[in-house]
Amino acid sequence: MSPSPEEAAAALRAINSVQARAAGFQDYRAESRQLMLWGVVNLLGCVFTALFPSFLLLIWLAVVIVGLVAGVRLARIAEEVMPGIVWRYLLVVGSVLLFALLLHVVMWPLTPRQGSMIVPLFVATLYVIRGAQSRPRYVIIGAGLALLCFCCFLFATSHYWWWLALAWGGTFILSSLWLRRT
Amino acid sequence: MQTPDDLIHQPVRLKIMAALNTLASNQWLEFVSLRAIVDTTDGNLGAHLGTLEGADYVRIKKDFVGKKPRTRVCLSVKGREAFAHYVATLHAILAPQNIDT
Repeated sequence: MSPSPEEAAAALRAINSVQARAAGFQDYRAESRQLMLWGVVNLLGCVFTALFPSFLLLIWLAVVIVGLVAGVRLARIAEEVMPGIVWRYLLVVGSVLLFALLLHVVMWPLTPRQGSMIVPLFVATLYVIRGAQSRPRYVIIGAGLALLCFCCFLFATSHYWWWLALAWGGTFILSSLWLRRT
Repeated sequence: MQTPDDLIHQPVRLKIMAALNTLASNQWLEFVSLRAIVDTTDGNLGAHLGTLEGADYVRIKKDFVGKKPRTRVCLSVKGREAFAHYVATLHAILAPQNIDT
């Protein structure tokens, strides 16, 4: 027996709903891998900065290069499902790095403590914007990251880089695990 | 009179087919991931997958990752065609309404 037009419309709505859910699931999975990578990378960057503060620039240069190379490799895994993801990924990471660089130039001189806030706060804002447009979990991740890093900036008088390692790297790692629990 | 494929028209199987159809051909989705997307129980999903596999609409692969068993599911060519035909049938059912409005 042929379904009524109402039933047909309901079936098409169900298909759209599942497809949106499946797309979100794949998006969260791909993002989860990146969050884990950059969580570990940022955590290590902060820890090494805490241990060897005079090598700050070298440490972050090395950390960013390692993160970028590994990130591109991870993005390639998702290329099959999301064509063009590698170029979009490079564009996003490149924009974040360029933003951090330009802000350092504009605001110079910055203390390392001030400079350390640029990337996490910018990335947190991007996550909130992305979440508002598509997937709500990103709003929580962005808001959490901004809040914890800013609290760290305001209140961590001693062992600043260790606290930032937890606030920045730790938030990314926990967020990664959360996104996997879809 | 347009009649959609009864095998796909069942709500859980419809969700399974719609979810698998978002993947590229020959791309596999893990059972646990599919369960999360379809939002059903292991037993229910397994039963409906069995029905779809019987019709050659899906392929199921079981293997091990280390010592952990893993089940993966993929839409077959026949399944992909059947789903496309099913969606086209639904649109055809709605078409006269669209003309009226």
